Amino acid sequence: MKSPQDIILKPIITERSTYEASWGRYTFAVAKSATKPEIRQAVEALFNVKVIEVNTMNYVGKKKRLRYRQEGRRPDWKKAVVTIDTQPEPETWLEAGGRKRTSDRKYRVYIEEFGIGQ
Amino acid sequence: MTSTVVKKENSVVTLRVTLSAEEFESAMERAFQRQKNMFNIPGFRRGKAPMNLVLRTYGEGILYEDATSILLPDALNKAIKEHDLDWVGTPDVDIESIGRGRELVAVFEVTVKPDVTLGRYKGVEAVKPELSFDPQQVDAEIARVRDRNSRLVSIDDRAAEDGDTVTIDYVGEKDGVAFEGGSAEDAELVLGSGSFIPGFEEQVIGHEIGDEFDVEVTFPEDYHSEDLKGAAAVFHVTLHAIRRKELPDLDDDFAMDVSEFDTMDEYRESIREKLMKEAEEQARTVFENNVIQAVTAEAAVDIPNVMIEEQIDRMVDQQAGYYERMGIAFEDFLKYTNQTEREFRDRFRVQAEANVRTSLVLEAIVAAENIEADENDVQRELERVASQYKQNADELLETVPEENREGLMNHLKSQAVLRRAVDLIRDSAFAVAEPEPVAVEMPAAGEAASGTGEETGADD
Repeated sequence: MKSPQDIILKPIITERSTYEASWGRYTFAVAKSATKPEIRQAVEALFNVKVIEVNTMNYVGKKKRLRYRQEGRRPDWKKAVVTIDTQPEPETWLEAGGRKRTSDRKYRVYIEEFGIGQ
Repeated sequence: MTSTVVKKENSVVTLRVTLSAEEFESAMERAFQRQKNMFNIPGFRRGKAPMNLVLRTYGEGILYEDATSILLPDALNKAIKEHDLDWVGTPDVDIESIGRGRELVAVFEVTVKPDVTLGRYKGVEAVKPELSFDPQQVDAEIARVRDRNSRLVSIDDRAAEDGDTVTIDYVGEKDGVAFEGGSAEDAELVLGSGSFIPGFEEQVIGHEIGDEFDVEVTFPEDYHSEDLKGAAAVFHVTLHAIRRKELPDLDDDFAMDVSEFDTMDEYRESIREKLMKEAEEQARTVFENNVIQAVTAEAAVDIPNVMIEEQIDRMVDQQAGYYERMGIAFEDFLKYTNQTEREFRDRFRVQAEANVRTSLVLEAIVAAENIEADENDVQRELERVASQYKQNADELLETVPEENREGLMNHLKSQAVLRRAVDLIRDSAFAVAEPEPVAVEMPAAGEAASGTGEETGADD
């Protein structure tokens, strides 16, 4: 079992990602082998938010030329853009017997660890 | 913003100014907006990185200087107004606490005008110098005017004499070769004026119009050109014309020519009166300065250093401006006269202290006597300034931009008040004759005070 820290590697902080963060789209570099469900779980576990959508994309590492005709490469990596719910409603469901239950779980509406504030 | 006076010592007041965290934060934001184009963070175009990120990357400290310079001057002004301080110079500031989310606490050391303990200022004794009027000055003045009105009369029936003005061509040769700057045509030369190389003029004397002759001279050892120093030279001279200065006769016609008077006696009398008036004026000024000097000496005042330094600044600026108008950069002037700016400043120190002391004492007298100036005083003051520019009061006002007039008027008013203070102490003072063996410090005293009467007004 991979821990959340093994899946979410680091935030990608750029002009675009900070802009998108203002409506709940956060961008991370994630483990190459991570799947969307794993990323969803990891983000929910790490930051206590409700994830709506995960988009991932693979980046092929750039070729870098070295001296003496050696070919070099930067590692391939995976980027995930995670959309979180910025207005989470309390979850409700029907229990056995038809009773309605509401979860008292409180989600955060932004990821402050992302580091740029709102 | 809140401020409290922590302590008060001589002429230094310590002020503690506290600004709330919100005030500081908004200043930080303004500072960031000003500077944001300076920060380069990967992933962002310049100026696009958010403030929090920038501060996390570079540290909050980079904005402190800007933020404080946004907040503190304003805060200081308010605090000074609040505590009604009469400040001078630039206050020292010490930041006691700073940081986002915290109060900004700054401690200022403000120098204020010192209290003046006046001594006796009415009825002091001061030296009034004798009128320095000498009847011979009248003759000297007339001789000057006469000389100015002289005519040059051509002479063709005799050889050149000492005092004549001759017109000559000359070619100067050294070792048979003409040298640069050694030739001229139709040059005018007053014989005996000493404007040419020693020996030259004497050798022209005795020649007649049309003569061509050689003048042999030796350049002086201290001549400015390296090549010609001490060199023997021959000038080939052609004498074209001789003219003699003819002075007008001192008769009534002369008086009518040079003045509005009809007779020589009236003219002579008017000059006598003019010179007498100047002498009286001068004696009065010296007396006035001596009175001020005496009153100042009786008063006790502890002048803060910054006031003296500021005064020196103004005086040095004035001097520098004077040289710059003459086309000499101030730095070059210092280099020529081989002194550092520091040495130059030090020469003003005594004078500056005297000036500051005098204006403080006069201000204290104004306060003690409740002296005020009315419209007429201000108007008189305006006319005085105008006459310095050879204008009348209205013309002068025309040249002052609308928005500066009030400032000018306030300035004139304070001048008028000071003048009243001076009048007061002068009119109540007793004149005493000059002590027999002229006191050594007399000239220094006169000089020290002479600046103050005018300069306190003129320099700000």
